[in-house]
Amino acid sequence: MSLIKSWLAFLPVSAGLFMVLLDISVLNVALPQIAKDFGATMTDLQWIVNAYTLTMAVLLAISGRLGDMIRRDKFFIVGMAIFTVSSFLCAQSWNVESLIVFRILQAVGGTILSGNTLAIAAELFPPGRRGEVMGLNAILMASSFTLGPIIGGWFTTHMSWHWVFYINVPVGIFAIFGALLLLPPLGAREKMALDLPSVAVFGVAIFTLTLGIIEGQNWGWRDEKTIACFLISAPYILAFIFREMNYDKPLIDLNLFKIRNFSVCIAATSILFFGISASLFVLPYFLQGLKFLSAEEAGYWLIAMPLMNSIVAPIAGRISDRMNPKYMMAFGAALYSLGLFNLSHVDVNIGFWEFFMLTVPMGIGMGMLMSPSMNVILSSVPIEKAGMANGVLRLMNTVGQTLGVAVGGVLLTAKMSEWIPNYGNQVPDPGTMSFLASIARFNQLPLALMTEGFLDSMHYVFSIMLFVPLIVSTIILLFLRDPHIAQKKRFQEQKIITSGLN
Amino acid sequence: MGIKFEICLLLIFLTPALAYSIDFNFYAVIPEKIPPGDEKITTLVIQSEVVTGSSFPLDENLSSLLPALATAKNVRIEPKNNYPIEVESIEHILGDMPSGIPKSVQIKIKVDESALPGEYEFPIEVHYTKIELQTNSLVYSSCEKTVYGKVKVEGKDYDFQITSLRYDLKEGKEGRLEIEIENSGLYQLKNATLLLNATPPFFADAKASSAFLGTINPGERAKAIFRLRVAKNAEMQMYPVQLILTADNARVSKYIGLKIENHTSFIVEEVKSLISEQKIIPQTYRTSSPYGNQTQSQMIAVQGRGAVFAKIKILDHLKEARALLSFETPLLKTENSQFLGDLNTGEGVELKFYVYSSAPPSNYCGKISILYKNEFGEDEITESDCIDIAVMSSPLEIKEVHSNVALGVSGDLDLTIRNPNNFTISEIELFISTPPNIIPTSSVAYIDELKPGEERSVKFRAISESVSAEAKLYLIERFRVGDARDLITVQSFSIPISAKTAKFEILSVSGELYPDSSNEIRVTFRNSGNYAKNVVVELSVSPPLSISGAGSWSGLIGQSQSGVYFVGSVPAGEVAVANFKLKADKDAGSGYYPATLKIRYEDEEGYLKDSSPITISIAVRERPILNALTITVIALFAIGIILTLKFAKRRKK
Repeated sequence: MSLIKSWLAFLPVSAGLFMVLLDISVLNVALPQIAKDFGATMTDLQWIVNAYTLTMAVLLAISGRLGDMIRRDKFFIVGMAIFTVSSFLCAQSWNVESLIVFRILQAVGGTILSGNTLAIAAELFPPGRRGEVMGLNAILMASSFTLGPIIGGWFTTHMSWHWVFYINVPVGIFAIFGALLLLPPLGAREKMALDLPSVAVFGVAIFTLTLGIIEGQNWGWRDEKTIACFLISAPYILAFIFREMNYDKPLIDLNLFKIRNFSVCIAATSILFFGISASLFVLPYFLQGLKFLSAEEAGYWLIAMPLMNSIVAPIAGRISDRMNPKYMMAFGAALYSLGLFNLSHVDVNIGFWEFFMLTVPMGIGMGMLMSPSMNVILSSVPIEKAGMANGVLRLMNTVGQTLGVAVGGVLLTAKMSEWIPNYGNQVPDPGTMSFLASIARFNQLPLALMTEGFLDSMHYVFSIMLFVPLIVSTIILLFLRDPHIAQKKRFQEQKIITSGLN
Repeated sequence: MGIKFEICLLLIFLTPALAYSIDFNFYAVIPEKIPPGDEKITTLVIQSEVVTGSSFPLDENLSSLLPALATAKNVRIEPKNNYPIEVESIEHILGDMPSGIPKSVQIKIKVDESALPGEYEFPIEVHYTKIELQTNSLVYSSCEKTVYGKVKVEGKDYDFQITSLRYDLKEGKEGRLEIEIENSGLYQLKNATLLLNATPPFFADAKASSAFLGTINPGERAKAIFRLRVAKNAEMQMYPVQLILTADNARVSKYIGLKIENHTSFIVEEVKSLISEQKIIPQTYRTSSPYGNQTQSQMIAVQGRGAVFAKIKILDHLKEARALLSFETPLLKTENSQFLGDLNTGEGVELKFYVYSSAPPSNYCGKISILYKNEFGEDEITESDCIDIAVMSSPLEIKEVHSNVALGVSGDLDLTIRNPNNFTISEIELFISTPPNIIPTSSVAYIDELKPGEERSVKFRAISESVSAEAKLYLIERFRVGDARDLITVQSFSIPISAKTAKFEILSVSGELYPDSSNEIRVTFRNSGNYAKNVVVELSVSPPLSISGAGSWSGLIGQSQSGVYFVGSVPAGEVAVANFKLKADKDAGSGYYPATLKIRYEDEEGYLKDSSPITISIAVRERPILNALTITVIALFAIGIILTLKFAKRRKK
């Protein structure tokens, strides 16, 4: 297949992926309006978000594996269709419960898309050309995080929150038809039945683990419910491991983790996602709560990261096709660490351009790390395991991301408690800050405590998390092998095997 | 022409006496003319003349006896009146009068003013002693003779007569004097000017103290008007003023007497007053605005409006009379005067005055004045002496007060009004004025008539907005007594205000909380007070407890959270339940935590009230080890372990 056709075929795939990724951040902006329309509590809003995350976490690995087993292109189209229809249904929901249900359905479609996109890229593009695609993938991932609030804010302000979901419909229809027309037959390389016990065990394990991580901050880490989640997930994880180790047709081939580069990059990206989410989740509160920017404006303030990523990621991906990306990746992680270090000193009065310049290293670092990592992962696994690898990557990233938010929240809470007595997990969201500002006429202390406390706590989180990319950098430097050498070796082994067979 | 009078006195020769007797003749002369009406002290000249008999011996002793014999001894005269001559009858002693030697004596003669010119005689009794020569002795014998004096009455050359005198002079006032004179002299008075020379207590007014009369011929009359001011406190008697008529060649003065009269032309026979004191009462304004109801209060003075009834008797003829009542104190003001018209002497008049009173109860001096036009058409005023006007409290008596006005509850105010007077009070309108914390809902009552001794009950309604032991209210009364209408009095009375509220007692608090869990708490309470409707129970808790579903703002700013529960109506004595969903923080230890209950309700009248805060305790218990969650966890964990073991045993084929 020619490169141009591959790119054309990847267009609807990337559109679908972007839509899925965007849907995570774009919804956050619309939540206050949804809460107002449905009379939703904070718990309801959290479940609107968490239902999506939990469903994805449970189904990601499975969807990737399924893509290996069935026609990945058809599977992608089905996933796109489910996502599009459920998006429409989300817009039509009449209460919180119906929205949560449709969000779960949306997550099913999103999992299929997200769990197979990299695998599709791996099938469409040969080794040596995947770097650029990974670059595009990285752009989509980074920009969705930043563009989400901008797009969501605009829709919510000028139209209604329903359009946050409606916008998925035309894009979805385009992607479906595009995929129908342009995607060649993909996947179906391993025709076997899905291991249902593994699926069940895996589902329980991941669900309880992810639930515990997500709700631990709200329930309390020593709460019996949190402990119960981890307690339940532990034997199921073990059971899953043993199942995968001892089953002929595992859901996740644990032998993949024997592939060094695969494991290193999985670990590196997961740890990076952990670090990114642990630190960056506080930034919207800083921008919207302390600096009183709107969600749309906050999105613009974070534009440096996706912008730099968009510029650097394709280049880094291309470079990773040609040379050992190890040092580039390690340097990229270090640059990201530098960005976190910069943010650990920001003041409330910081201006836009100063903030822009401080976050530039983070964008560059992400670009230098993410796309080469994905390239290395897909290049290091057999093509028939691409879906599985994709699924595992997404799963580990999601878990890492979820864990990062939880850990970041713990760090933030611990520090905030030193400032605010009887601290009850309040964060400086716009609503809280408006309330505190209104009572500041009579009592300025709560506003001062929240502002100073959060700023100090944010600095604390950044100053802790800046070591995480450095750990990633170290792992990469120590353990990553030149993927080109490994690839060459693999080709030679295959050649020997093939010739031996002949 | 005036009649000139020559006075000549003809002595009547005494007839000779007995042999060797002698006698005397007396002659009296008054040389002056006296005009009619004049009184003069004039000189009477008397001379004696001895008269002897025919055989009067002439011998050697005669010459030595002759002086004795020719002297009338111990002469005394006694003039007598004879119309129109009037002589001040005094006995004048002349002593010895030798014959031929005149003696004069001053006597006062007055000619009656109506005497016509001419000569008039008047007798003069002469008492004397003569010496008679008897055979060998001298005999002294008293004799009496009457001689007649002649008086010539003749008019003056220049004289005037007062033909008409009209005046109205009252103590302390200016009066007018109208005089008509007649030229009673013999000659014309040219450029005659009549001057009034007044002395205290009269003071001539410069405006009219002289009058130019022009030329007055004898017998002609002329009029002059003078104004005089009479000094205050002058005695009611006659005082002299001098009239001086000057002409080109004459100056005649006369004195006239002018009597000062008392200015009161009436007497007060009876006075009755019905005036009450002023009261300071609160006036409350209640306004509604978008910002809420506002109450403003200010103190205003309500003057009593009373009446004074007087009966007077007129002592003089008064034209166009108007009666006024005035007071020495400015605290009493008369509202009206009364027009009486023309009044005749002896007439009785009834007066009625309306008086505004700012005065406290006491007795005050009032004066009734009557303004009228005098005979000259001028305004005159006559005043009575001080009359006693009493300012009292209201003529209506509040005999009894019954009230059940209570806090937030509209209650009745029953007053028993009595008329203790001996006159009927009718058309009685009653209003109550309340302090700012009491709102009258029915503040007006009416009694058509209260006869003497009669009593009637009236009812008002009011609500109190705050509790006070005693509240002072004011009863404003408007009524009629006889012809006097719209008389106003104010009196105060007090009523006790009690609080009628619902009273709640907490019977039980059920429901337990576990750390990091929500549960329902039931609060059972009883209303042991009055009926309460729309009861809302508010529960306030503080960390580690919170109201389930509430936000965390309160905790951030250190305030407790409130949950509310609507109960509805709770009649007196009834029990009600309020349910709340509370959450205990995960770090909450087991024990009892305080919470505050406040019960808001409306009373029967719809007034919103709050109960006092009631503290209750809420129990937080340790969660039992075995509960639904732990059982589920154990079950799932066990399944997980089993699967782990199972999958671990199974080997790859």
